[in-house]
Amino acid sequence: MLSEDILYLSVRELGERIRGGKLSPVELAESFLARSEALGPKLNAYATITRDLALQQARTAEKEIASGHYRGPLHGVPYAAKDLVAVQGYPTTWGARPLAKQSFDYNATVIERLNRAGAVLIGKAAMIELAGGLGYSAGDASLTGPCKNPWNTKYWTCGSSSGSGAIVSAALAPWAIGSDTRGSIICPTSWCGISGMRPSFGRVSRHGAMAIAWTMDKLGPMARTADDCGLVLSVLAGNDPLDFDSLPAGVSDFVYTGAESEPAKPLRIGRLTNVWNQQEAGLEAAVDAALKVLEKNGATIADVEMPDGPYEEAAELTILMESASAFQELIASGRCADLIDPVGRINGYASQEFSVGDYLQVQRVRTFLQTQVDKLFDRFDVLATAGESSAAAPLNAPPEEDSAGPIERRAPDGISSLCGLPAISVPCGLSKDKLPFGVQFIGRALNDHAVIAAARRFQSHTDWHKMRPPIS
Amino acid sequence: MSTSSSSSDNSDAPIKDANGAKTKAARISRREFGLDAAVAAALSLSVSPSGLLGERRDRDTISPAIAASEQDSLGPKLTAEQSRDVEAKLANIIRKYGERLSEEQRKHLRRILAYNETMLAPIRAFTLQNGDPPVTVLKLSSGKNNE
Repeated sequence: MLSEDILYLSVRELGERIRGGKLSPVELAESFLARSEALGPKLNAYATITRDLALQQARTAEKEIASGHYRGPLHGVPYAAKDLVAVQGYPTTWGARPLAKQSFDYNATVIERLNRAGAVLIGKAAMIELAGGLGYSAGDASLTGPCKNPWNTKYWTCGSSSGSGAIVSAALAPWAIGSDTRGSIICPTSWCGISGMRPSFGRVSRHGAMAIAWTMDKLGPMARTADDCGLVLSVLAGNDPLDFDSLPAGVSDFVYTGAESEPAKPLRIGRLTNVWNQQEAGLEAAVDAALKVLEKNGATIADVEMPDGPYEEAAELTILMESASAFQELIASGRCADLIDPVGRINGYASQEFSVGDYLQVQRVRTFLQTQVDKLFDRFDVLATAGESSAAAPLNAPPEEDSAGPIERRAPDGISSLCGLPAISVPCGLSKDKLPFGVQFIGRALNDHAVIAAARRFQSHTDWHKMRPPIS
Repeated sequence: MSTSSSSSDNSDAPIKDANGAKTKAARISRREFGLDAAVAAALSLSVSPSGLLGERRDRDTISPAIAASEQDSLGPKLTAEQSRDVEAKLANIIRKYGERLSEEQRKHLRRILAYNETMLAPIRAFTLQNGDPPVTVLKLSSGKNNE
């Protein structure tokens, strides 16, 4: 069993040791499997641990590397995949009780890409049922129970990529695939104290992954560092004819080695001043401190407001409308009644009542909203704000009544997801309860490099990403 | 977050629907959301994109007519027209799926439909021209997809 110090290494560091013959892929896989089997159940982090597949892939990697056939930075490196990604030979439950025995006879495109890269699949990560596609009201809305935060198991990880967040945070695997329709990578990344990225829409194929809302769904990496997100994204990205929204070849590709030269001009950061109604005490100061670090190291910082408009309505309605179609069979058959959450059991019926006229109106309004947001990037390379408006929430908090106070009309997850913008969240501090805070950087569509560059620069001058949760 | 039993029909649960990540602190207050949107709909029958994007709405300007609308006390305030739409949609759901739904679920559905109406209001109020396209477009297939 390898030490915790090894298991908390970044993907880049693990890959370099494997390439140099200093680390055995088999020993690494066995260590992550043992840790996953010991700690995974305490966190409800996994839907399935793919022990046999992991060891087979690790042995293959070890032989290939020993014979001089090195595939790249993920070769021999373990990972986990959210349980909405099809893996041939294993259940793919979408986190939902009615689909507990579902499986597919093919691999999702991202799994095929990772197989070609020689990566080692440790397991399928737990998730909120249907990734929240038919609605949910609490963190226990999952086939595998509430996912517990490694920083304090009385707290939630956030969703819907709950298991992916917990797995990376607790070093059960060095990185995991998450999915993000509206915040499902950024929120668990922030709450679990890791680095996670939502790529530009269309950069990573969703073929073989559960659909919620075709015009908003994205897959992306959750890892220990921004640099790791770049490395993984360079493998996941690329055109796929099987995904109708896949960007064309040449546009979808993401070339990243980590050795890219810094841009000659200073990084221009816009600090968003109007995107959260209320932030937990200490969070705003943590984000300000993070931006000061960047300012001291050459970035320019200026305040900016997100333009007003029905962004949240458009995002929410798009998801409701498209998910009613994506989950039509579950709704029509009545099998949605077997979902855990009371909202999920009935919400699809309401969503089926939207008219086609309303759907098209939303999609036409969306074009204007995209244009408005895009203009901000004439002045800034990235926009910065908190990853989430608080640190993790307790699992046993009572159901929340709709609170008083102004609406979160410009909450950044809805705006940036609606417009397909890349974003990354990285840890930037701790709350009074010793739970992680995150700072996120949002970039112009297709400028995934900018968000990684901002986060990398921050992490090159700080150690927040090296924090470890008190779990063992 | 709630740890209520998964088998219970917690129809009073806050609506946190159809998206990946909703959190206690970050959740949209959909009551306020609805209130704000209803105000917008009431104040502007036809709003230009620039007006909608540039104008912040003051929730204190809610009209008495909206405040007095006949709504479930737990749901958002609606106009009379919105209320009629909610009832029509609920009737259609009950026509199709009524056998599956408890009384509590029907009440919960009424609240969800009401929230949905309030979200639709600013979208419907957005002025568009004939040629303004949706973001969903036909991708041509000509032998080699996406090439």
